[in-house]
Amino acid sequence: MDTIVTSNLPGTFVVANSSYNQGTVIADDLRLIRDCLRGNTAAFGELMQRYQDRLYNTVYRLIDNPDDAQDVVQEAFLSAYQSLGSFKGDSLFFTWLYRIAINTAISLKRKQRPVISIDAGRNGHGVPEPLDATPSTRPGFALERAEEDRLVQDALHRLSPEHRMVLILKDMDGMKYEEMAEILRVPIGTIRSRLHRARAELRGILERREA
Amino acid sequence: MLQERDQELLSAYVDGELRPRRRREVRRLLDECPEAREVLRQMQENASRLRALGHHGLTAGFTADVMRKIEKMPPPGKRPAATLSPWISWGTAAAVLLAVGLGSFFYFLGTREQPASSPPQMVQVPNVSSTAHVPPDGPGDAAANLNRETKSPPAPIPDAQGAAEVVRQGPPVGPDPDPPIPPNDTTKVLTSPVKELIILPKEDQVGVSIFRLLDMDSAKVLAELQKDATVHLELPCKNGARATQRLLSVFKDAKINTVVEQVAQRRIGDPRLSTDFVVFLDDVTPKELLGALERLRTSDQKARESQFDSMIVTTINDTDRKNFTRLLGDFAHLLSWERPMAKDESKPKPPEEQALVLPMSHAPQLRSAEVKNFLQGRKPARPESLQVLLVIRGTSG
Repeated sequence: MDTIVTSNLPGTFVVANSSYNQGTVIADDLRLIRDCLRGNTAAFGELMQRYQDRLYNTVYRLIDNPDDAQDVVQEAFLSAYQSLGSFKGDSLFFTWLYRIAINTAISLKRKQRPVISIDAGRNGHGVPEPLDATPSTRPGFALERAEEDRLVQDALHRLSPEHRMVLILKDMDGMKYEEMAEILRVPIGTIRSRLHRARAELRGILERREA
Repeated sequence: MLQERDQELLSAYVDGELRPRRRREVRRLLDECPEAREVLRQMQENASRLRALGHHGLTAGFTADVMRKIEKMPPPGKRPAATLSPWISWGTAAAVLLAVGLGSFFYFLGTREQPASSPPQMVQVPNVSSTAHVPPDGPGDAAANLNRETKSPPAPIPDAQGAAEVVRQGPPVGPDPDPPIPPNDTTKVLTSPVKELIILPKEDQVGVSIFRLLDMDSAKVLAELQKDATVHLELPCKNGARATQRLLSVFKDAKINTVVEQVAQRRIGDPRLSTDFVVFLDDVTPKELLGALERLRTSDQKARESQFDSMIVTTINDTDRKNFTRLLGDFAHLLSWERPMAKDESKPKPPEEQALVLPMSHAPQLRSAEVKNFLQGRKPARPESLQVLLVIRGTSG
């Protein structure tokens, strides 16, 4: 006789004591998740607002295409919404969200053929808004800034995906090793060694390009 | 030339991720070595250059677009009409956990390659002590089957132990109970990604046995435990921490000395946390394990709040080994799955410590000296003893 094996999470979860964030998951995220599970979709909208820009920036750096990055982020949020009932609360919400987005980005890259974009900067893609909104009075500043960004972004893209990922999460997203280990599902020792090798590789690439 | 190890330390120093002792070591290195200072300067400069990369923004209207799509989706975690009974209806719902051959107990550690947007499949497997004969298409067809709706909705499988229930995603079938599933039906039931939903590849369906702990047939369980030198035992429970507390108490009574890892200790002491645990038992005989399970049954029956219901018995496979080894983190190299056997005539005694309890963790950080000692101190095993991975998986908060 056949048996179907199932069970289901109840609609509640507990605040988890995560070692790396020293005690508590962001309670407000949990409140919004709980509201969403009770049928308040606007609560999910609030969660999105909280993380979408940061997530987009990370994904953009990962795949270097604004349209694809936007698609990935959208897909990640839709997946997260559908899976919200399975979020246990024993990690930060954004860690969980990042994992979904990174998996989605990896799947996307696997499906695509590589496209070399030579003039991405000049076409308007990849030219970011300056972090410092104060305009410089020095002529050519914006162009120099764009060239520097393009140089560094190109170097980043010459790294292996593993190395690129850890540099983005660490240097651009400011994550701790434990958070990165949680997202990438590797031990902390692996994060440490990957970062070291990534930095060595990046250093070599930048030295050669600037020589 | 700066050594690799020193470069790695410098990298961690840049990240502020070194302990005080290592930080002092790096400072000494920087004082003494100009090359180290130059490498550090370059690392810090490149890190700044990365941070200085401009931020890119989403197009205006992104949030509104996504929310429009979300409004059209069913609410997350919503159960369609044919859903499981609540936990307390154990007696009427055969909600059991199916142990898969391939990496099931690390399913929730996300070892699947499918992204979260791809709901896993559910397959039907035989009950109790019969072997599974239902050949699903296998996980390779998961993508193709993702959006397929079942034309004839499956039914609860009546079995001697209670009614099975089905969770499905998609349009609800209405208030009526599910119609019966024809025998040997290989219908896949698509569900939202619920916790205990596991894909059982065809090649791993043989050798999975499911028992009700509370009324288990000891002879049949013993026969299962004696089939192989390894046992993968899944114990779904109400609350992982409380269930593990109960199990540890039973082990103590059964004189199965246990080492509990530090983080596991903390989490066992806090039932509010939603934690699953894995117990590695080494050099335990089938009878000793059965004795522990019988004590567990008695303890659970007497308790004010029962924790357990069913248990799933299969063997440990390579993926289980790989994933458990990963849980050991930096101590992984100390575990040897190949164990020498003691000579029978020497009448070996059980080891001083037979069980190791770890929490399931995405980022294991084992530091306990006790864990290290447990792994290093393994002696030749008694003849006919088992290696066991016992998984305690909570299914409610």
